[in-house]
Amino acid sequence: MRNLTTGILLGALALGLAVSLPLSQARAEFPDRNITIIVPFSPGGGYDGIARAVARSMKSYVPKGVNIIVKNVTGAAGRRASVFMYRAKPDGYTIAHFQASGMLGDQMLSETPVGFETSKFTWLARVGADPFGLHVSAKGPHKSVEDLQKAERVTWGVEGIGVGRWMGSFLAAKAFGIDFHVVAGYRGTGESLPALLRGDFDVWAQPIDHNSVISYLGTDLRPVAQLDKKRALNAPDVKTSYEMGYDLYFSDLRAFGGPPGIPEDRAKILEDLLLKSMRDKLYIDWKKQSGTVLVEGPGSAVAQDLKYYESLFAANLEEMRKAAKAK
Amino acid sequence: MWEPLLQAMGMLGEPMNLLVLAVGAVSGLILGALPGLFLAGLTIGMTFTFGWDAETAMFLMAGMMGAATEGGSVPAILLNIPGEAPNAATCFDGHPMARRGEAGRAVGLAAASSFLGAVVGMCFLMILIPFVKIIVLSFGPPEFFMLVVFGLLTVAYAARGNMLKGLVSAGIGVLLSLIGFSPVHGVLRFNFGSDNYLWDGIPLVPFFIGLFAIAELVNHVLRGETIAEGGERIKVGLFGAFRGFLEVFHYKATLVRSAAIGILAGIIPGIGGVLANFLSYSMTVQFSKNREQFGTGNPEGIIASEASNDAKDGGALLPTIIFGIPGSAGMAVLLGAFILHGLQPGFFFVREHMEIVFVLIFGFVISNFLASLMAAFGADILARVTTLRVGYVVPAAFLLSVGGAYAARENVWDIGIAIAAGILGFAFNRFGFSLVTLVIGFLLGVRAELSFVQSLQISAGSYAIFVTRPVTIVLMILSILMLCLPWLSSRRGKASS
Repeated sequence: MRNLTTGILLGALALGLAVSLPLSQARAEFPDRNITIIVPFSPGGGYDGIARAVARSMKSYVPKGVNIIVKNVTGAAGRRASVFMYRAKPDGYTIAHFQASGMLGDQMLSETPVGFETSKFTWLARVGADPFGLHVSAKGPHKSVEDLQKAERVTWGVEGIGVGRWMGSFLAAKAFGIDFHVVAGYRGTGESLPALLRGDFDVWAQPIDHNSVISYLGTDLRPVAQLDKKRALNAPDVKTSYEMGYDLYFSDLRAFGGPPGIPEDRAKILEDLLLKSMRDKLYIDWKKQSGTVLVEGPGSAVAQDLKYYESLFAANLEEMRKAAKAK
Repeated sequence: MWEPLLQAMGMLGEPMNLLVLAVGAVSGLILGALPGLFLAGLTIGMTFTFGWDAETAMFLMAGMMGAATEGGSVPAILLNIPGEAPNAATCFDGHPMARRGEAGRAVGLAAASSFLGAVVGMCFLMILIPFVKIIVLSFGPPEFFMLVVFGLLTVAYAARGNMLKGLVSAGIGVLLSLIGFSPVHGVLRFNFGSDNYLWDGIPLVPFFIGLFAIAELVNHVLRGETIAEGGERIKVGLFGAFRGFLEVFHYKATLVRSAAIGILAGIIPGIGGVLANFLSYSMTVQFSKNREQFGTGNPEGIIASEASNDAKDGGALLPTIIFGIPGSAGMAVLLGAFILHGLQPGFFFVREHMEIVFVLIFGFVISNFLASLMAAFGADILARVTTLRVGYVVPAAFLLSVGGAYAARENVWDIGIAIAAGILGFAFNRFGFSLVTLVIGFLLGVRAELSFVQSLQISAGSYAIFVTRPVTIVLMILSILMLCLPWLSSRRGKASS
């Protein structure tokens, strides 16, 4: 009997070891092959640039032989990459650099299923959030928020109805009590900026601390408000929405995430890897050089930020849908 | 001005930079010739430059970008497969010339046009730098709409022979262009139930590959034998392609006009090299005395296409540098390389980094020269493809086409688009409908709608916006003159007879 008990115990121990050894080895070995970072936008843009800079730094923190590959999965204003990632294998080898606030807005605003649920992604790290500012042309008729509030017809420049900038513009117009008519169809910052200077529209929502506008501040562009609690570094004289008495924060939330269901241990390893890479000297030097002002954070910070946007969008959803239909 | 010029010349003199430029030119030429692969290759090239000097990195980028369109002309001529989308119009006369057995001449013509187009483009870049702000700020949606109307009117000339069929083709092109998400209306149109595949409309690369390459491959299978009719190739010898190279100088007006269209298309955001390519081709048809020869291997058709698509780089560099507006997908990657190396585009770029502007100019011109030289020397060898039996050529070309359609976005549905476009292209050829007008309609239709609606959004619905701005008035007069041109020339013909 004693022999039997000893045998069972030994067998259980052996089985336990057999089961736990590969698991602990798997934990120790992850990642043992290449990690792919999906970028939902075209090569050369802001999202692509950051992903490549992070990938370059990350290479120092992964085992030898593991490469970090950046791949652009473009289309449908980022929706294609979101759907692709939602269906990807949750093994930690495929992650993405998402425009998280835009994804959530797209999902909530759409009246048909979009093929993903933003909250279900495995959020790994926050790259940063660029709070939007409101800009007018220095040569235009409006000089301040008050001027815009008094104007009978105010036009806002956006890429399209329902996209991230449209949502920020709509919410700012509503909060400040400014008229809201859009001029849509500009392809990104590159086309929108000269369009504002040309006088195609009156207001443009764009982060003030963003490399695309820094050199125009004070000459061609006049920022009139910062949609944040803190003033912008590059326009310290411009008041925030909170200072003006309007409780609105709106930013471009950039985050790394993976498909739903990445095992916790792997998610933790990835989070550490990403944070180390974003605190690496190489990445910090690149940020300084490129004029990018972003503050990284853990995956939990993304989930927390998304909760804010969820309540903000939910509170304005019906009006936003109505405005989108009214054009 | 002189100091940055000398600085850039000094950098060019460094063996490492010259080597990087040559490597860029060779890889650009090869990647340009393989449909759908150039952008991926350019992005990988950009990634390689991490840690390099900004100037050396720019030599690599300029080397790759300068050579790509030259590379893209080779399969367009030999196989009717545009290596890059802006080479599509080269198919119209380049491939018929190859089928006549004069592939070497066609490659030589394309090589010279590319090089000279790039030189003219870069010269204009230098001249226009002080005026770019004025030009970009003068072209808003109403001006753009009038420019598109002007472009659509060229359809009447590009139709060649059968105006009605030409207009029907253009109309189908316009309808196809409306597929996808309309940013101004916020709705998805004609998406066949897919919420994201057709969001951005019909993808350009697989559409062109199907329309030109797959349709022509079907024709080759039906005709049999070889691509060159009767299996006969006019031997051009090692230096024979230089005949084509020198022949360009007989068509100076076409060269300059096409380069000018390319530059303008590059400067104005939203036009792009593909549209420049087709506008230049259709304008050349319009100005030519031998309109009926287009589509049969007319050298002017090749010059119009290749000079414009290389000249547009000079124009497109301007908004990329001054505004950070990439005029093409390639320029977007260049913009990424700027940011990667801490170079901030903007009005101050020219003041602070003029040496980089010169590095890019030298890089583009030398890369074009190297690529043209390589293509011209290789023309005779490459032309042998046209004498191989179609049984060997067609399967390889089909794989290249399908691979190219897939590679651009790595989406398997793009292969379906290429095959559907191939059937459409074959039917159009079979029943005498014009592919030129189909493509012009496709490229301009959605732009016409967008700029029209944007104009009305700006003016709160008033149509007066189209007739109260100086540039729109000039464009409107030009459009009316274009409409009257055939009538005026027929009157002049009658009067002289």
